[in-house]
Amino acid sequence: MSIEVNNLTKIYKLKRRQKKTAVDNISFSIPAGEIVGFIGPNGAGKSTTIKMMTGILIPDRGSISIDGLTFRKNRKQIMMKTGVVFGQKSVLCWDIPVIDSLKLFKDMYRVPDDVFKENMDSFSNILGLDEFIRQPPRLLSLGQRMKADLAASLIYDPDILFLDEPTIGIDVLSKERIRQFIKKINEERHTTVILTTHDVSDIETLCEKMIIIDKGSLIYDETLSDLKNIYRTTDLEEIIKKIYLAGEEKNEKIC
Amino acid sequence: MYLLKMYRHFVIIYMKGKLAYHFSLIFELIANTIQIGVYFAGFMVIFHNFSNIAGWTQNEVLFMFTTSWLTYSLSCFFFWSPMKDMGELIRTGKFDLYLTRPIGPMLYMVLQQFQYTFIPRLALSVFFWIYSMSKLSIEWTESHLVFYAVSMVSSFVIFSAITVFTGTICFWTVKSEEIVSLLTNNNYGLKNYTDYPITIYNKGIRFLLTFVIPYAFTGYYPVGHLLGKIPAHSGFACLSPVIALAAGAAAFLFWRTGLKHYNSAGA
Amino acid sequence: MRKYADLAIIGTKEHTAYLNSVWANFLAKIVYLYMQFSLWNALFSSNAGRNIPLSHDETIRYIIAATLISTFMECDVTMWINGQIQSGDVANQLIRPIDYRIMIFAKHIGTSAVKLLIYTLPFGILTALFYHDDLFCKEQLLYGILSIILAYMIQFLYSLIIGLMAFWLIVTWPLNMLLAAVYKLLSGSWIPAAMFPKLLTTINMFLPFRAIYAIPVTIITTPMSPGSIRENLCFQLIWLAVLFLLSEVTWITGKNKLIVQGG
Repeated sequence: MSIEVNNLTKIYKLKRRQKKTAVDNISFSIPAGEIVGFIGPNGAGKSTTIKMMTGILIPDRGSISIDGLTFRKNRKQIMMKTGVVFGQKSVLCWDIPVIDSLKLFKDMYRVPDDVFKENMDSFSNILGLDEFIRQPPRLLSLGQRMKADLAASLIYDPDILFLDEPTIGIDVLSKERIRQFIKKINEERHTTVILTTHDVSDIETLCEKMIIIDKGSLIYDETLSDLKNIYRTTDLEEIIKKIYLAGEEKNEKIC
Repeated sequence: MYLLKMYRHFVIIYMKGKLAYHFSLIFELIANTIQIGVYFAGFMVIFHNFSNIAGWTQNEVLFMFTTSWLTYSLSCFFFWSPMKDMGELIRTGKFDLYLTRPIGPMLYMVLQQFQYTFIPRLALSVFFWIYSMSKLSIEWTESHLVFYAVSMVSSFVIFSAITVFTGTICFWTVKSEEIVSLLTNNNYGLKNYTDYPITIYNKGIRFLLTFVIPYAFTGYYPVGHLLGKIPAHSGFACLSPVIALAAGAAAFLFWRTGLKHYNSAGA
Repeated sequence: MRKYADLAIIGTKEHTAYLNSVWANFLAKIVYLYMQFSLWNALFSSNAGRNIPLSHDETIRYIIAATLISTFMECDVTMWINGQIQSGDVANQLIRPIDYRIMIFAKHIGTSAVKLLIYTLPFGILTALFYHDDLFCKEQLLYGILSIILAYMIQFLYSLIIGLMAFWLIVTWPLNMLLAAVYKLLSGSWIPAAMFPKLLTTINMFLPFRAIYAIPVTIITTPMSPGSIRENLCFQLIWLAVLFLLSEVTWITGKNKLIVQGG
């Protein structure tokens, strides 16, 4: 599924009639089957944008259309086809074996038995689910839990996957597995992946395109190679640092 | 069909999770049983000394408040826990996850749990309900039966609506525990007022319990009418379904408004 | 002494941190007292001529005094200790140069002092506006105050012991809830103990609960013979001693469990 975002604006009302524009007139499009890195410094409006794209927040102005569907009219239809993984909040039931949570998602998203079985087999291979699938999340390590969360959000073959900091606090090897898994899912099923992260190597290994947001505005919407050409370096971390710094300087000038 | 299947699945999972600590589960149930049992014991102690209150005998009062408690427990199976947790869910951001599911957030929260801690209350209420009914000679004509059944359903709706109301406040204030507790606390909650005929209170409170927080329609009016205790207010008894409808609609709209507020302002 | 005073001040601050809940608590007391008031008034007026152990007037005085006392008697000691044991904080407390139980007691006193000021006092004034007769039995007031102080200590020791149960239990709220229910009935904070049927009175003879509400409230509101006042005070003293020994034992065994098993 492709995503089309047009003139998206979100204004928060603060106390005493003050307003804060969290997202300011952002437009971009993400073609189906692409992996896009969504980055920006803390408080840049990144998570507000993601929240609007997942239907949690309603934009004040502008529109989001997902393959022509909108949240206002086709909410359920979109939700059936969207997977959401928040690094900090697990979707799994805390006290029961992971497999039971997965079966619950199978029913909730009406996954046929054969598809479920097929997906389980392929997930087990890459993520090594078998090791911990019979244990409840409370006994799992952070890495295992993230793997289980990914499995739960992909068991119903979503067309779009939102990943919010999927590798935060996870060891190197698990990170690697998780990235491989995301890559593979994207290649095999043409799942569109939107990824927010502060880990540059996540982007380096996964994304073709980057969307950079700062102070509510879209700064870059380019492929990785274009960005490297513009800044004449292959060091992505360096590029991002420069972009963030430029944003801060601009801010100082205004003041 | 889909929802029923989901509910079954959810409840099995929920109970499975609780059974992981089966010692605590049993302990919780015992504690709840004793808590409710002590309340009934206190009630018996009061009527050990007195023969009636405002013209109602012990069994009549018992029949009235078990009718109300019965529907309250049933309502709490579904709504109590989600609404109690609303503040916490919004604080931690877990509520966001419910918004990304193909089932609406309210339905999702109701389906995904089963508040078994109300089983003792339900069981004891049913016990004393049957006991009091056997002691009273109520003429169960067809119209009485229909009236009583409709009143029970209305009572269920009223309790659920009030619970949803208290939970929805969290969309604005995040901390609504105090309000919930003021209404339903077992020791000093306003709901306790309706365990006795509301004629023992002053006009203001009677008005409050009838029109503002319509607890009186869950027991006093319907049962009073059935027992022929309130000839002056018999008309009120037939209002139960209307009040229930109004309360249900109000709660639904309030919830929708709250959700909209959350959708536009975040937490 | 200073450090205990500091702890007491912490207790006062913690309690007043949430103004909303202060209001809610106050309102809750009024809601409760009004319900009690209406209930007992209705019971007496619809049962005129019946032989009841307490008179109408005595009952109303009893429930007012009991609610008034409850504004500072009820405490969070059990919850504090539960929390500290479950989070493992108690280990940090053991290192401190102050005895843990005295520390809790100091904090408890601080909280009670605030409660006296922000609940009991306004609540007392409020009831005085609506209830014009003498609430207390003046001749016995001194004994009554002594009895309240004893009740306060008994209540603290009782809460302490229940709180320490967290050393052995994973989940404590069911126990707290269960005991709270039993306490509510047997202490006489809900229904005057004089109205209990024989069986309940007999059971209650061997339990400490009535020393917390029924005894002080009765002494302070109902005229009694000097002999029975003495008897009641003795009952309180005996339970104070018993609970003190019990709390000592629970604390030592609990602490050893913590040290041996590391929590």
